[in-house]
Amino acid sequence: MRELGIAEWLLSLVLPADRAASVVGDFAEEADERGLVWFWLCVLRTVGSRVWSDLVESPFYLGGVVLRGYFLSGLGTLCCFVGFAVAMAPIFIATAWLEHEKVLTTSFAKEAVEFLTAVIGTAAMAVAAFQTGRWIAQRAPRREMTACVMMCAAWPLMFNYPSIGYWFPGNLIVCLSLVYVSLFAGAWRVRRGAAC
Amino acid sequence: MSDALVLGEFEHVVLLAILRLGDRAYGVTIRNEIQERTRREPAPGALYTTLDRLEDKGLLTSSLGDPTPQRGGRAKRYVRVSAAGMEAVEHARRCYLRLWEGLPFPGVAHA
Repeated sequence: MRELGIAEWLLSLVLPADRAASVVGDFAEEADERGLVWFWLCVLRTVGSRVWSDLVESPFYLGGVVLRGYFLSGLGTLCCFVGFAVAMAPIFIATAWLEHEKVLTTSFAKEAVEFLTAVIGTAAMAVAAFQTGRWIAQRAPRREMTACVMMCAAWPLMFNYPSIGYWFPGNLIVCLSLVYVSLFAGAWRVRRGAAC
Repeated sequence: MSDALVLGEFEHVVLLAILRLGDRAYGVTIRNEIQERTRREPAPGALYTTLDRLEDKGLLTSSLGDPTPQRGGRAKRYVRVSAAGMEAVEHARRCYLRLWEGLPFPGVAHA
């Protein structure tokens, strides 16, 4: 069944792979009698319970990891942004030159620069989030997903800063989604590497 | 007294259910045993978190059984109470007995 694979993957985010498989097997055994809704409720409640349990058992340690991860992601974003901006400098210069030569209208050039800045900013955040996910997974093994969930909950606060919000006009949802996926992907990669 | 030997109420219930089940103890049977004996259905998340915690404390050991088609090819994780687990259950029993000793409960017959 396809849903068993998805459920196992979901549980393996918070449990070791062999335990996730046996838990899904337990739910599958009873799902014939109790139904698919019961099956998925059990999966989601088990994930939630595990995240909560990790949080309650070591709130200060995980809080520390999240705070350092938050700082690291900010610093990484800045470095990536500067790096990407330098790499794309020829495009900015070419746009300015074409505008000066009246090949491009001023409004088009302005829009192009804004678009490029938003793309660079989003890419920088995604790369930094991926690396932060990897860093978190190394610092909090077996509890990395809980730390990532905590981090995701805190991340929107970052967009309260107008200077950062300026880079992502109208694309906050897209940007946050990308950042979240990158963060979990980074943590997942380390976890998978450790399991192999 | 080691902290690992101090059991929470649900940990105590889970260990007793595993002891009752013997070699047949795994997620589904433990949940059913608890439901049958205590008339309450444990939340699946709480049960598996408790089993993991008990194993981390060294009060349980686990081993994988054979995969079955009924379970989508996933193996059962059988659990057994370790020597430290037995000691913890015995300690909890003694504590409860001391608390019950001499307690007057009108209309309730003591075992």
